[in-house]
Amino acid sequence: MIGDDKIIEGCKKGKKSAQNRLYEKYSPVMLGVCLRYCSNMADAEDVLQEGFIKVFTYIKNFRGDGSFEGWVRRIMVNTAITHIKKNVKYSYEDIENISSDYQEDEEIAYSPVNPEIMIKVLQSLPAGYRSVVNLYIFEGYSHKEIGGIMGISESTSKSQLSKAKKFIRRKLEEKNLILKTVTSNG
Amino acid sequence: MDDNFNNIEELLKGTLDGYGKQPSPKVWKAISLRLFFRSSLFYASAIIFLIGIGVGGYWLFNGSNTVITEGKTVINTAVESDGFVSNRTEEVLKAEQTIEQTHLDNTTKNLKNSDIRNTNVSNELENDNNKQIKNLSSASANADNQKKPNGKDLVTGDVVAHDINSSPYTVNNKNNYPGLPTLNDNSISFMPSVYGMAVNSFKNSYPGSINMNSAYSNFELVPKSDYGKINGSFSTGLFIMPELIFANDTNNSKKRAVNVDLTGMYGDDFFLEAGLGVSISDDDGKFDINYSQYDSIGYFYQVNSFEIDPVTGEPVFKTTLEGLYDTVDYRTSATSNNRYTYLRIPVYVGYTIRRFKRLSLYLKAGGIYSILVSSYEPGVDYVNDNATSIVINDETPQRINSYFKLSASLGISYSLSNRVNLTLEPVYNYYMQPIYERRATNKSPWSVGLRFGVLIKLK
Repeated sequence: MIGDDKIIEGCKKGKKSAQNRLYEKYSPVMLGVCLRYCSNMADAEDVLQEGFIKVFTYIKNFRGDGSFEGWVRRIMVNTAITHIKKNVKYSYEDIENISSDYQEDEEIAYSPVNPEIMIKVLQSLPAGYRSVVNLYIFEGYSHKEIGGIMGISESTSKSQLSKAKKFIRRKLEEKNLILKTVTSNG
Repeated sequence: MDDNFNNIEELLKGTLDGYGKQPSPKVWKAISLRLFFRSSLFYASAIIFLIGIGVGGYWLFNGSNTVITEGKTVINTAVESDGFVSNRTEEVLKAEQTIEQTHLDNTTKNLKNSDIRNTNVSNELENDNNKQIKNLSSASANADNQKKPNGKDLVTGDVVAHDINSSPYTVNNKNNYPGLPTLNDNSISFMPSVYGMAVNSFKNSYPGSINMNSAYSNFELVPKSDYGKINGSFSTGLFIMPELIFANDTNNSKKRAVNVDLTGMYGDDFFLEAGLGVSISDDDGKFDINYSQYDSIGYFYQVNSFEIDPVTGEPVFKTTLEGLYDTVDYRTSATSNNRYTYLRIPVYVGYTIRRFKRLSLYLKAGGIYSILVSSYEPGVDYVNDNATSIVINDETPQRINSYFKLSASLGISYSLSNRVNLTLEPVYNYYMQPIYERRATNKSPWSVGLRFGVLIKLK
């Protein structure tokens, strides 16, 4: 098994075999990242393709200071955000109504969900909400940072995240994936 | 063990963090293709290909219809003069250029020939007269202007003359004298061709061996040991081949050619290549130009008066120097740039000799049948304001309507990827018959070329 270092060095030299190995190693996980940001597989593969082109183009700039997978992931996320901004006219009004039935302080237990189902649920979110969820929950950005990335205010980011979570909970309820509901003051 | 999640965030992260899915193969194919087009190898091959096209284009389109004068030759000289004529070369050469002089001895001789008119100058004197034309042309310039007659139709020898006042004489590329032998040319000819569609398939019937057609298999990257292996597939390629043709005539003239091929192959170690194409060939049109013009052929002393020397009792003649002109026939030659288009049907069989990782070496042989489909023969213009007549004989050898040639090549192939190959083939061609209808020699031409291009697997 060839280690990352050799693969990276090979990629820096433009060796096609190394590029292929790197792609085979990281493409499944990165496609998972892309699927979280995109509404369908075709878009996700487009982003994946564009992202790997950037990886192979700029891999000479990778100095090995941090995790290579993290570096690749950042490229994929940035590419996905760029793709969304460029190609998707997203709206936040679609889920305004569904969020009013739930209370923030409810304690809910969730059983494990099939990732494929969860991806479908996530993809059913409007692009703007989906991006906020991804950036906040998966990438760990603050609402302020998300506001800067998405071109929205910090409060809007918070609001969208809240609405998005309620939207997801409702979708899971519709699929009978919520085990129990406990109110915090009960 | 409680695997449940207490909130949405935990659920999402626990479910999807690290989630992966295998992308479809087309993603890597697209990435690989894009990387190839960004690679220096692509630019190198593109540059080579463009250079090939440029060289071919230059060879193909750099012809012109410029008239080329070769060995201007005086054919015949007819003397026509209103004055006295001196046929004596030595007299002409020794003559002084004063307007009035006394030449008792010469006058005596001139008087003996005073009635000579329209005298044909003997061949023996022609060369001398030519020299005199040059030597005396400046000296008798003023007289020339007065003596030159206006252009008019003349008949000189067997050549039909034309009025010099007519527009520059133009002739189509049509031989007026079919019986005349053709001139051997030093011309440059161009013979590009385009092979047509063909398909190509390869089978890897020898597992473990390296197949030359590695570039035709999947675009996905494979271990180096697998390079050169191919599975059954169809391929097509685009090639360009500059070619140098040795006409094998008495002048050993060389002609250049360019072939642009779209072709394909089927097979494994042994393979079959076939296609359909077009050959555009440039060749020189040859023209023999005969023209006549009035030229100075010398001068003479015209006696204006004489008186008796009172001392000696001898006559003293007063003379003037007069220029002498006549019609002189000249011969020159010219070339034009003709273009011929052939439909070509090439068929080859080949065998792969060796394979070295991405490189393959192969031999190929076959035949090409060519059919003439169109020709462009613009003819030539000849302009000479001093000429009294111009006759242009087209002596362009006629191209034959079809011919067959044998071809053999030793090729090398380099796999850029599993689907893309660069090839380079030094080629030798032997024409089974001359490419002209009639020729001073019936020897068949041969040619060498360098064909390079790109082969792409179709599926």
